Amino acid sequence: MNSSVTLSSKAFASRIRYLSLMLVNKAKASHIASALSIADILATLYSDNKYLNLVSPEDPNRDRFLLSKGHACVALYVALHLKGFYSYQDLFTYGSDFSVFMNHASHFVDGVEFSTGALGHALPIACGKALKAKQHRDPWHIFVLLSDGELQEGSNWEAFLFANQFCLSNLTVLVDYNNLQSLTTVDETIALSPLNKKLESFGFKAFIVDGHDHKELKKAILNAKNSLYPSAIICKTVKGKGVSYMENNIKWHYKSPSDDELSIALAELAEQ
Amino acid sequence: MRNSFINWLCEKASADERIVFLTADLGYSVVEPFAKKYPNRFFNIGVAEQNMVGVAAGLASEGLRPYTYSIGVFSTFRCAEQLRNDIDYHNLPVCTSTVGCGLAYGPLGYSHHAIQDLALMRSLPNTILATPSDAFEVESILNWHHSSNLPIYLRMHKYGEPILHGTLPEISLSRPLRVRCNHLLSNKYFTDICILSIGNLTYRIKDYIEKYKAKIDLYSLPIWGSSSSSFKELEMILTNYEYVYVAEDHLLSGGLASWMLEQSIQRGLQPNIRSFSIDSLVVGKVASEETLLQSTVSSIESFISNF
Repeated sequence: MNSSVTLSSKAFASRIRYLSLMLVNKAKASHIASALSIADILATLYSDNKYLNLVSPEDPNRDRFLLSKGHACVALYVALHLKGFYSYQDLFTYGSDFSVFMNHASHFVDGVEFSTGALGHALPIACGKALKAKQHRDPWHIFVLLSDGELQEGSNWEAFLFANQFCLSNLTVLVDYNNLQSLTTVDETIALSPLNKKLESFGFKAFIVDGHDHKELKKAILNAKNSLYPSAIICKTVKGKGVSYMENNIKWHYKSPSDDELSIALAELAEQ
Repeated sequence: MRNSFINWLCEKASADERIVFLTADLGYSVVEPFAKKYPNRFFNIGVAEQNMVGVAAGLASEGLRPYTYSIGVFSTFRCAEQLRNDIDYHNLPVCTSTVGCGLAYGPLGYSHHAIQDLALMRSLPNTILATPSDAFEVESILNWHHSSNLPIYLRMHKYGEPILHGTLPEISLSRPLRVRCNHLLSNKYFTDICILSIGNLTYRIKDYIEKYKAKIDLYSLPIWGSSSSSFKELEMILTNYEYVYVAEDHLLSGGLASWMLEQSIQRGLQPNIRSFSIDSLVVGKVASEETLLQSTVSSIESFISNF
């Protein structure tokens, strides 16, 4: 394990964005806008053990985090690097042939709990983990971060029913609600609204927050950890957040920034 | 078979607290003993196979030993991606146990006919295929799996299958199990022909061999798998018998016979493999298992009667 540095959640988010941009540029990888969308959520969780209690991936009492939207994994890889779980050099093998840092979340990376990539998988797995923890009175909490478009997968709704039935109060679902999916907006595809009411009717304690406001995120996460019910934090986000030409632009679900585009993006981040 | 399964679970679970049981709302008059004895380790997930498999993966990833239970088609094809990505890829020791293999649920129609499940499940590189021919084999399979850490697909028939073995057989991966061998009677080690059978055809074949006093050896194959490295004993059979007939309550496509051929090709063997499998003409036909199996079984009987 490498030594970690203590960063404020704001600085942590900034590093996630900066390094994610560099990594996808180097690897010519997709999904940078998805990674930027969740940077603040991950930074809030990973920058302080108060929110995600994670000192070591081997600690049986660590809080668990599953990234259901595995395509945004570059942001998670950076967060785990910032936690000190592996070196900068290792991180920058991302996207290289045979690197464990593949372009969807991989459990071969230290600190990644489970491989994801196909959507609609992580929530049932999180339910299984939460059920075990609850029955064995384990002290840890489990977070699972889903995209909004991913909620069109029926398996998630099977799992919502399950979480309610088994009173999984140790489970928090985070929804990256940026309203952009693969081809167009979520609203124009298969709308989710009103998501909070849907989830409340499934027995969840639902919070709606600005997914880029760390204060709101922190408050909701602590409330969710103390909830008597399974919780859902609907994070209103902007896809591509932090890089003006990427924000709300479907193109950046796919495109990798060129060297020139990277320079513009990094310069913008430096000014923030 | 299913009673043997639930009895084993009830007994084993008292010694191993990691064992948990998940059903997708099936198992009436089967699962109750476990549910009664271990109410906190019995989970009816509801009619939600994708969630059941995901939950099982989550439980297994935290150190438990989940056994999922449903009808053959439902807990394989419905949740194929969960089996592939969540269990097999993570190599988690989940036992996907199913009932109603082959045409066991004949009158219930095509939706309930598990005749392509092996094709799906044997494409998963880490998953062991368990194809018991009687209740003793079920128990041996469960014992074997319990001491391993592998994902396994246990494909059971229903109930009332005749017992084929005198005692609990010792099994190992891809090792054919003698059900009836002439060399035991005549000191001749190999006849010209053997049949390797799985599932609900094995006892019928044994009966025919005995009825016609045929010089045919019969083996079952309790556990095997796509990544099988221990093909040695099967290789011996393939090279020592002039003809190896594979009998399976499954379509030819993607079943045991085609697996045997694939394994042979990989090892440079040129065996004489023939197949007794379920004809795809049964697709869409609704009748009793006996009726639907008739053409397969008749051709087996006719074949055996000539030896």
